[in-house]
Amino acid sequence: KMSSPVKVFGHATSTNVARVLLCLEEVGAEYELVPVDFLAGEHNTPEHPFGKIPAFQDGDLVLFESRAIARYILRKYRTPGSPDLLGENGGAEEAAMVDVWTEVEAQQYHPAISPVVFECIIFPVMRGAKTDQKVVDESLERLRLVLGTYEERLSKSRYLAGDSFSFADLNHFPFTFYFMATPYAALLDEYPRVKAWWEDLMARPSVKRVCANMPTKF
Amino acid sequence: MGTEAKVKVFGPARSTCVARVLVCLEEVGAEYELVHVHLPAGEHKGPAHLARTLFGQVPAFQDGDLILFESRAISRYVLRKGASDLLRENSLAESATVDAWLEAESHNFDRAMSAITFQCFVVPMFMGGTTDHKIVEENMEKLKAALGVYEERLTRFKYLAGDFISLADLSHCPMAHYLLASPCASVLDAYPRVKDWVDGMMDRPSVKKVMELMDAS
Repeated sequence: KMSSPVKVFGHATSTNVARVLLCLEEVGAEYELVPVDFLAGEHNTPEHPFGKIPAFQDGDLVLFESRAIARYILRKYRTPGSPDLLGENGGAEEAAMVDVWTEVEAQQYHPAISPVVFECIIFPVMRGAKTDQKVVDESLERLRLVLGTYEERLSKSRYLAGDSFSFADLNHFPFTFYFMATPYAALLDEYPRVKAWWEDLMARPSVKRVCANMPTKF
Repeated sequence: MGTEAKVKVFGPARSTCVARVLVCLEEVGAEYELVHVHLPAGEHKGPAHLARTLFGQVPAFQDGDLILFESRAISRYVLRKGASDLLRENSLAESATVDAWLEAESHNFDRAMSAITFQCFVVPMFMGGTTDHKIVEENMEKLKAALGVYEERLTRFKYLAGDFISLADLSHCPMAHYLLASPCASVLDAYPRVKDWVDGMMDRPSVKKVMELMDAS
């Protein structure tokens, strides 16, 4: 373990920052959250080539992209007592299933759920913009299809990648958390296995600690 | 790859996601069988393919009893099983940097290029529609923003993740192939290091082989 805490650049309320903080909490690593002042253009620092948050620093290593940062944290700071969230000690097949469902979150789930969060929460709060209901309705339709597939998956598998909780499940936390603060939270009730999986995720100590810094009322 | 049967890739080679996996298989010299899935006929939404992938997308992949989908997940598996150095998993710092640029490829370059190729190729050729030039222009701006970041990065390093080639670089090849074949190819002229980097990758035997499969598909 490094003697100095790692640094995460961004705000605890940001979905992608929360993804990283969640992994730090899972492995019990010490970290320092460094706020970034968007108005001062501070996010256009060399830490992040695309000028976004989070950025991350561990000694000489600087990283960007929350999923890449998260993997690094889980690999480097994993202790014998903490779960093998990447499945990398279980062999190539277990790691591959974690990778598959991590990609599914990024390529299927996120594009369906995030527009609802952007339209209902992020744009109104950050820009004073009005919700585009057409975008919300189209996204909800897409999300229904995705959740239907997840429901089927979870009827055959305890967690998304298999019988053990993994990085793939964790990745769903940030945007789903905010989705549950929109008027459409009841959608999950239509998919009982998904709902139970979500509640299981929310009960994790690491998730509770990260939630404490994320608002539910806007 | 641990079993005597060849691995199988399901999907048409001309799909960039299928091609991504094929590049990795060629890089590790694995034997594989490419099983064509006819997208225009909706074969990817039929019961056989849905049983493999749940989301009805291509590619799907089979190695013995293991069935995978999502091209970047399959790519990682193929490279690990083939003991390739393209993921740099012997180094925590290097593998993380590869992961970061692979994410960047997915969220920035691929997203913009997918929208552009969908409008320029799929809509007129497969859907009988007309190209929406507004969408193309919006995504060309996003593409240029990504290329600008790459140009800066490639002034400092030979490749995206460092001075070594990795999956983060090669993941660009299938879309780059279509970009070079499109009327938008000249966008690269303003980014000379990016252009050299692309040309260099297109010259690799593995990439050349897959580009031939893409064009023949």
